[in-house]
Amino acid sequence: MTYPTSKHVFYYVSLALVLLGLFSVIFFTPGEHTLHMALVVLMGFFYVLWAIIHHLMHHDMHAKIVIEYVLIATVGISFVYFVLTKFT
Amino acid sequence: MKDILLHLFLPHESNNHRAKFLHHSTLVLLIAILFITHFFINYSSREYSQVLGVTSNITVTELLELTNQEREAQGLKPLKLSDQLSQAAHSKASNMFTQNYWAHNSPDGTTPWVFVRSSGYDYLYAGENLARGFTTSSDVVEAWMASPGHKENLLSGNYEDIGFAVVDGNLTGDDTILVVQIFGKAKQVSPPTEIASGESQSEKGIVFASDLSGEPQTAPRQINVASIQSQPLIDVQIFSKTSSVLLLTILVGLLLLDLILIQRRRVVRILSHNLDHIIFFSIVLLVIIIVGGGAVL
Repeated sequence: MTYPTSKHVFYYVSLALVLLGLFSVIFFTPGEHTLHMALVVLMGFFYVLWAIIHHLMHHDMHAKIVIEYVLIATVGISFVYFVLTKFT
Repeated sequence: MKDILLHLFLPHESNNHRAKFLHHSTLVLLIAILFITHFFINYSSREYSQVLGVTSNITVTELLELTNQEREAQGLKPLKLSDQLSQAAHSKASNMFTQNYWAHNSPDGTTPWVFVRSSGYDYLYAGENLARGFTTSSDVVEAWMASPGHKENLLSGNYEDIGFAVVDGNLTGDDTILVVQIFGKAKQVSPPTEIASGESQSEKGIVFASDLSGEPQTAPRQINVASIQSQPLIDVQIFSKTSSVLLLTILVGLLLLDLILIQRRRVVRILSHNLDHIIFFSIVLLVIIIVGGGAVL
């Protein structure tokens, strides 16, 4: 179902703020690659969890939706893992 | 051809109004490709490091040259490379890897000055700069110059000698190139008034000698000034970062296009939330752009 975006403003803004908060930790801890990877995994978990809560509240939860969020989170985490790995 | 492009990149009847590139099966394939590429690069960079590897070009000669260039630009005397201070820098680097810490003082409280003294360098002033995760000498010196505490060390008129260690290893869980830079001014046989007011001042990256009493001298040891250089045909770090940025930008672009077209065509779909995907991927994109760099201390 499509909803007017204004109905989801809180969801989008809170999501962006939390993700930006985690990003700022990464920004201010240069060189701490293990911490960065852990924070990106945390971002992924939060992203999926927040989406599930949001869809439950709007009564439009569907297995396909959960799968999509998990896949999007996994893609994001995989990219960061790919970049952060030090190939020797 | 047009139909194939429409099918792959735009919401269309043929792809159930969702670009094929954004279908779950494609996302799974993308994850699989990423991990297969990761495995392939990891194997190739070990077996064929001349072709696929990490470009590293940190040499003591360059670090010394660049440091002295910065000093000379400020009208300061160039520093002389000291075997004793280089030995101290190597001991400090070795201690950092052994005790696994990223700090000026070790977890057991050992200060950098212990390594300076044990190298046989009897100092009046000493200072230390650290860097990790950089791949070129110029990046290291630029990062130090961008940090006020480190810059103060680099451009201090108190120092006459310098020593470096460039060591590759695993520090706090990350494979990294560690650079230790130690500055010093040796005690002169001079009137005591010149050295009588030794003060202790410790801040980020700069410490002045606090203990000016006579320390047992140890004979300077022969040292091996290390440098790390490798120039593979393809730099895997640059390759992984560039390809990831490119693919993520394409994904964000397709999600944005999908969002606009679906809203405009008023298509009813279960999977309609693209804005949160765009927010998540945009943050990941920012992370990818900034991670992987070095740090100074």
